[in-house]
Amino acid sequence: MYQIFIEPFTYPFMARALAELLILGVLAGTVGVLILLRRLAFMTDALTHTVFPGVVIGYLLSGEGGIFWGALAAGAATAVLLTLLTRHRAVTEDTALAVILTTFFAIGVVLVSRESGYTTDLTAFLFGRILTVTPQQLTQTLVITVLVIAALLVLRRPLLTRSFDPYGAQAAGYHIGLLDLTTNAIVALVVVASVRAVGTVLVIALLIVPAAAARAVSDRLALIIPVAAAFGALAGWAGLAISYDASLHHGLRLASGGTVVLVLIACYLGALAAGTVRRRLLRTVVKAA
Amino acid sequence: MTAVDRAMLEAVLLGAAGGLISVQIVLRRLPFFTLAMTHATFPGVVLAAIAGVNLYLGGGLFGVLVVLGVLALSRRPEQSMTTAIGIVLSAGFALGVVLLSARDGFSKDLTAYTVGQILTVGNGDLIAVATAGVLVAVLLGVAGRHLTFRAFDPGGYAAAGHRPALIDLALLLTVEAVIVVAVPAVGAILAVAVLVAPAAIARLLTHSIPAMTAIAVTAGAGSGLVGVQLSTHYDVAAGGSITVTTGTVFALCLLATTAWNASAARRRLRRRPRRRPVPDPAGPSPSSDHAVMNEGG
Repeated sequence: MYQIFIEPFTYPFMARALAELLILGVLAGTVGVLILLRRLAFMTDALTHTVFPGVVIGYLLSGEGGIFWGALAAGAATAVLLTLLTRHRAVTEDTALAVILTTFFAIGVVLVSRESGYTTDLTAFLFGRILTVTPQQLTQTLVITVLVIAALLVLRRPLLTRSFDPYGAQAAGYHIGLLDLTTNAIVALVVVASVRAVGTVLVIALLIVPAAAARAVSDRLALIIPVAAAFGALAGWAGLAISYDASLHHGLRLASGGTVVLVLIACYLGALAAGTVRRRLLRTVVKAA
Repeated sequence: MTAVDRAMLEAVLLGAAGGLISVQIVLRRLPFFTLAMTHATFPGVVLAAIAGVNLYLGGGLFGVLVVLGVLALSRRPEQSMTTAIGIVLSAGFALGVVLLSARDGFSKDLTAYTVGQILTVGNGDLIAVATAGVLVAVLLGVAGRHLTFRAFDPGGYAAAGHRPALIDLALLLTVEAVIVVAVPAVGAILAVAVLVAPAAIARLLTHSIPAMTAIAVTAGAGSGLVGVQLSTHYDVAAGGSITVTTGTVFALCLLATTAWNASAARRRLRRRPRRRPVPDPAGPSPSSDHAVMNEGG
């Protein structure tokens, strides 16, 4: 166990990768509960793809440093376009999302395909470069995590009211449009923060699967949020360790991002089974009493 | 036939087949489901490539498994459909990626699967696309009326003695057939553009389903043709240029119809200032529009 789960992280680059994944796991697990409650899975997936042209343009304009700001601009553009598009009555939200997602992503693909090292760039975007995370990136992620979690804490009451009872929230005087924009901005921020390190594929899984797994084992929000954060962080650790071990000792190269997702999915299936067992037990206890 | 000719033929056939089925996808609110199916067909294609069996067969079989997986997960009470789709989507894509990463030439293969390789299609691919197109046409010809009935009034459809599960299965399997031929050509991520965007364009321009279908087929085939030409002319990825073309057409149509509706509303306001003090701000025929918006999913 020690050899698989602890030893690899004595290397500085692996330790940094682990730190990044642990922070992102906690962040994405927490925000994931909001996504689960508001049923924003499709919107999240669209955001992970629409930041791609921003990443490419940012990189072309000012190198590595431009990636973050390009992604941020693209995320903001998506949020605005989406709000505008769904006001047109002939366009439903899911159709609008599908069209925006593919068009934005395709713009990125077209731009990147002009470059010579095109396949490597695309791979880096889809899977990230978790093993080359810099200390500066780590600080960036940490700052965003603190900001997002603070925002969620401050806004927890309006956000929850909005999720469970939109009309009640409106009657209580909350500004629904502003709340929705904040939610989208938070999701966009998480996507932007994590896309460079872990890639689109992993971001969407980190944002959706831990929350769903936590939801399967508990009905109480106070439990779901920490459980989701723990699921996210632990799966990041286990996935990284497994992919390292498989590549080094078994000659089987596994993409680390993909392995983390598969560990997450395994956790989710386990949680589903545990949730079913728990519900059965509760029912027999209630019957006996 | 040169490679470019074949690519153009493939793009046109695929655009037409995608346009034909896209109307049903948009009417039944299936875009996210389609997206999940395109992502999840991807590991099937990779597995088939590794095992050395037919790519279309592998992708298709895996896609059917995914359809069943989403339906099973979304039946659980605490799980909404979008969450179930999101989980299956990321699981499928990650599985494909991990399988691919275990092989050599990882990033080149991956690019081929995610953005497609339309310039290397062979005669077999052309036949496969044509077959999928015929399949869609047959489904719409035989069951078009049923599909529309089911889309607009699910309760009435069941009450009339039909079986909703059967028609749903037929529709989903046909969608999967088009996805399976679209993924090798335009890639797993961009395939959904072929399957949704044509109907989104058509929906802006008309309320009638036959007219929508005709416009969607034209838009799909047209953007396929233009996209491949742009791609060869400017030397960019073909899957990307096809999708950007569709997206541009959509944006232009959206601008045009918005402007047209606004001016129509203003004209109406000028003509009848007294009788209707609060005019409908958008859309000439609210009732039929409402019907299309309110179809159950």
